[in-house]
Amino acid sequence: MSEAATQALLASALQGDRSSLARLLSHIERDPSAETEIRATLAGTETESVVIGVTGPPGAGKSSLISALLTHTTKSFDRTAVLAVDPSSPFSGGALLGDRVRMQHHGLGDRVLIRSMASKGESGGLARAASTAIQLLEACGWPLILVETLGIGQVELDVMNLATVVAVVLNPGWGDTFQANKAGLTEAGDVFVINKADKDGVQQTRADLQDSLSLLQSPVPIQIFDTVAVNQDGVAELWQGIQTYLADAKAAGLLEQKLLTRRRRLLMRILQRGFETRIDAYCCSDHGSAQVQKALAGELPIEALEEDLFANIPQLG
Amino acid sequence: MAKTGLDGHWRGPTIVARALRDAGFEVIMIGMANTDDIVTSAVDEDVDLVGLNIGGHIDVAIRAIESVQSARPKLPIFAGGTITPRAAKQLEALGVEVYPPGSQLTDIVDAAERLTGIK
Repeated sequence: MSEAATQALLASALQGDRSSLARLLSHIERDPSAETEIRATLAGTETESVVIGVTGPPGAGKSSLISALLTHTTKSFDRTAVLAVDPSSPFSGGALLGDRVRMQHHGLGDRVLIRSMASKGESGGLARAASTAIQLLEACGWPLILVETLGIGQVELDVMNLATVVAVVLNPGWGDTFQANKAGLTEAGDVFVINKADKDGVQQTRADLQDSLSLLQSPVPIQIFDTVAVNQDGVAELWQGIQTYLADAKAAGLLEQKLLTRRRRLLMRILQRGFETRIDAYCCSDHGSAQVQKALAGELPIEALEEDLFANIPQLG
Repeated sequence: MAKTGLDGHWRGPTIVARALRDAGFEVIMIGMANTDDIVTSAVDEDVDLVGLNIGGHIDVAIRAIESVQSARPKLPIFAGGTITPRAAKQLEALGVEVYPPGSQLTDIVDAAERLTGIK
């Protein structure tokens, strides 16, 4: 797609055309340089959409919970966008994106936009294009964006750098007190949800979580909610809890801090990506590939290769 | 990948989605879906191909196909499921490729690659 075509699409998306927005989202997924271009155009039009991250292990009920939340979110916000990430295969590159199966019977028409995204090899629980996609959705007038990560383990926590509030979804019988005190997941949540709470073990899971969370230094109280998403049980309370968190976090100055972290993180990612592109270009160049071959053969120490890389790093563009 | 109609035979679309996934496609499953769901998904997900699993009344599927074609005129559509020869003719008249029971997965994957212009 030419630069002019991208700009035309962007202009039309900003005026509210959904199919242009959809095409732009595909474009940034496929082409990293389009991301840079769109970011540059949108720079300075920072809006303040609320971004709610929903994360947790596979099968915890993240999609069902988002589906259940839509009824409530659209009472507080005019419109809600959902960005749902599922994993790409490390073998075929293909993906089966199934979050929509749980989500689309909301009956809210155009007030809800759901977009699936494959992770394409990203290891942080999201997709490379997720942050730009959020920025684009914000600019196109979506005041609330729910971001669902793929099913995560313990440390794929990129979402905490993008979201205003992170909801961690677990199930009864999840781990024990040691699991709850491990680093990663239980440190990253602002709100915790024990979904499928009609199953045995809710009290124990809640106690283990509470025990772990009580030792965190959070300026805002972290609450735990029990839900059965498919029946709407506890979902209204969860939505109330998220709103309370947002209000408390704002009063404590935490939201401002998060916004700064988010911008910084984005900036670092762009710099890193630019750098990776240059390293790739070096390795593909005649000189660079010869140096890499030497290092592989043990004729050149890695430190010398690194030095040569810095000395010969190609200019971008 | 969507199912039209109310029957609960998941095996077909699941196997086809899996074969496409293994061929490197990103397959968005939307499950049992009405016309609006299918059109909204086709637009919002900016898909390159629609796969319909047709069970039950062919009229329901035809309505969905016509709506998709009106929202995204050039978007290719292919279909599988329990489709009678007569219904298959109706679908083909709308430009939909039909893969009835007994079709080979490799043929379906080839069709997806051809229809999306990958090959």
